[in-house]
Amino acid sequence: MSYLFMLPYLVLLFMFGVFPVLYAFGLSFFDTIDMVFWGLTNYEFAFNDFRVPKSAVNVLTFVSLWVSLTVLGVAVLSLMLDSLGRRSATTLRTIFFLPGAVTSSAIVVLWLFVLDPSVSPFQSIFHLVGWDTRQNVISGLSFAGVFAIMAYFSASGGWIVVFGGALSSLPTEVMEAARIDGANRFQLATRIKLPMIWRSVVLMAILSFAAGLQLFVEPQLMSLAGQQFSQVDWSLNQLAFQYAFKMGDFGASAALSTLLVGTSIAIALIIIFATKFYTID
Amino acid sequence: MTSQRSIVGKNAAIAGGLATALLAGAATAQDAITLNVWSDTPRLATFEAYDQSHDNVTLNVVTVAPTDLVAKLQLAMQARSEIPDVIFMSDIGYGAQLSTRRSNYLMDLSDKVPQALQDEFYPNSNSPCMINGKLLCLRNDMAHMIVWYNKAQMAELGKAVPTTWEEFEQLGAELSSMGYSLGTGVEPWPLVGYLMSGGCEIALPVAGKDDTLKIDLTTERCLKPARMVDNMLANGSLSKFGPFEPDFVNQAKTGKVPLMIGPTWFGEYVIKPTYEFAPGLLAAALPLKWADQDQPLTWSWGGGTYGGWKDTAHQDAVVDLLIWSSSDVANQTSAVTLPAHEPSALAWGEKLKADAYYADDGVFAAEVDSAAYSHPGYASLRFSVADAVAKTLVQEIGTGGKIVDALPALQEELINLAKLNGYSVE
Repeated sequence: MSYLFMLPYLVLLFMFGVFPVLYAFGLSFFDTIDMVFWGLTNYEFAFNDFRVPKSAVNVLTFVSLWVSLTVLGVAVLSLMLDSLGRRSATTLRTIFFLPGAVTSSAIVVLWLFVLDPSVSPFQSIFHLVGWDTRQNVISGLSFAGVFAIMAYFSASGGWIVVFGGALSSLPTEVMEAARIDGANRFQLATRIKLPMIWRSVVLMAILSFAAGLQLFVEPQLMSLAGQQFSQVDWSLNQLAFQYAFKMGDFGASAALSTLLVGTSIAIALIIIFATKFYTID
Repeated sequence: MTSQRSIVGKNAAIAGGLATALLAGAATAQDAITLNVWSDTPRLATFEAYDQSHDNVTLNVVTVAPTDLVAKLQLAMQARSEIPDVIFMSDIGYGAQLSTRRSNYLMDLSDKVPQALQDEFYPNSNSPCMINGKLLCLRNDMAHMIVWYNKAQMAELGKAVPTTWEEFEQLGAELSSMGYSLGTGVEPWPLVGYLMSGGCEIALPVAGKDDTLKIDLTTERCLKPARMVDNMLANGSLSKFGPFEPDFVNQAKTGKVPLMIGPTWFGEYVIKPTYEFAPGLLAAALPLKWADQDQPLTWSWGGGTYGGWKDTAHQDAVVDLLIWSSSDVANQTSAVTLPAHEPSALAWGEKLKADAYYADDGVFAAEVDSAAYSHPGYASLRFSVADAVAKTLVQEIGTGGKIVDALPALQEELINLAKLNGYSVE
């Protein structure tokens, strides 16, 4: 019976998750024009592309910025929200969630305005540090920084809601006991609550890492601000897109994508085993 | 209720069937051909006009966002279905990108378009379509850079319109202290335009050698224009804002941009609607030259092309449509931008000459006369020079650096890109 309930999910997972990955894996060994077996030629092409190492560094910089920002920001905000009254916490949580309800492409467009010193609400701050043009702001924050901020605001709201759930399910008797023992709100948050929800933090880090490696929308849409901001090969996923849809090289695109998904899986496994994620206490 | 609905449904089905039968009958009678066309929005009128004036051909036109064209074609070709017979390419790079082994779409028109007709296009206007010696598309409109200026304001300021880049830089230096600028210095194509004006070799195809590019940014021909741009960015006579960024648009709207370098379509599509110059002010002059040049060498920014599918089932109809779209005088007379086909352009220009928006009737003459100076190296490449410029020169400007110092980085980026895309580099 339980499998019956899982069936819709499994069907969708296979159609849009497992099958495309296997298809791409197969495709990555073929020349897609004449459909002949190419061995590792496509991988060789991707490795020899001078843009790949630069993009890998770009993406890793972005991921480390974004994951730290998310882990820190979401944990702090969630713990602070949890120490508030229920009503105000719910209201704030909803407000935090709102940017996440907007598609990331729309958020990018919004941010392009926020980053423009001539129209931005943060104008005065930009002018204070001497940034007069959008180019100055972007150079000042670096592309990785800009994309990390964009991604943080679009994704953190959802996690704050998840953490709200995790925190509210903590046993009240433990909280009461701590309070009776004289723990203040700060100690309650750092000594009691945080150790009890660390699995959610690890899960968030793993999922953010996997999502971050696939960075695409933010750099791809930079050119909306004008061609001088165009960054068509900033991230690895953009390169995979370029291979397929600019050069028509679906094999090389599949090879690069396979490498990306392989990296994500490997790192997720390392984190899971290193933190004994599925071990039950 | 159910029975009623099914009756209606049945009637509709019968009516539909009849209509199909009738249409099919009409089709066989006139031997009609249906061509699938991917167009951008401004060119819809052209295809509609062709559809209406040609009884034997029906066009099934789909509007495709210009930036999505290549990606959608790749998908269609990979899926081997829904491949259009004719496309409008709004980016000159698409010609080269759609004629590789991996995305082999474009039909070779070299012996399908009569030489006499090819000669009716402005010299060099079809250079984005000549790829390795083959004509792979037909140019729709010109987009070479000319000098746009506010005639009344220039007179008021007591300044003559420059004819050389040296005078342009001088004029900028004189006016910048009063808060004026002479256009933007950060938009990639105009930046390339400044550099190209001196004969700099930024990824130019080598005549007679297939897939070979000349890339050399170390010569004085590049350094001289680069120094000019650096000087003008430093004193503010070239803006650090892009031409469509609010700050620059405001500057232009408030009369702080008396003169700028821009492509032929800038007057009608940017200066008039976006910079909101009042009627009777805007005039145009020939492109600038360097003092040691005999004549100007002007780069372009834009200009679309028409291409056909090499494996189409209706080759003759496709060629006819391509020729008609780009060179039918009556159609091109109502086109939105300066046609690349000379007889069409001359007919098109009558409208411009009579347009009271411009300060004098010399705008069209400036556009047409400067066509002869357009750069023969304005070619279609499999990679984007503009994106490389954005990544190197523009970012250097953003961090307060000089483009002279970023030229080696641009050269390296271009050489890498060229090799990656299968070019030999000289």
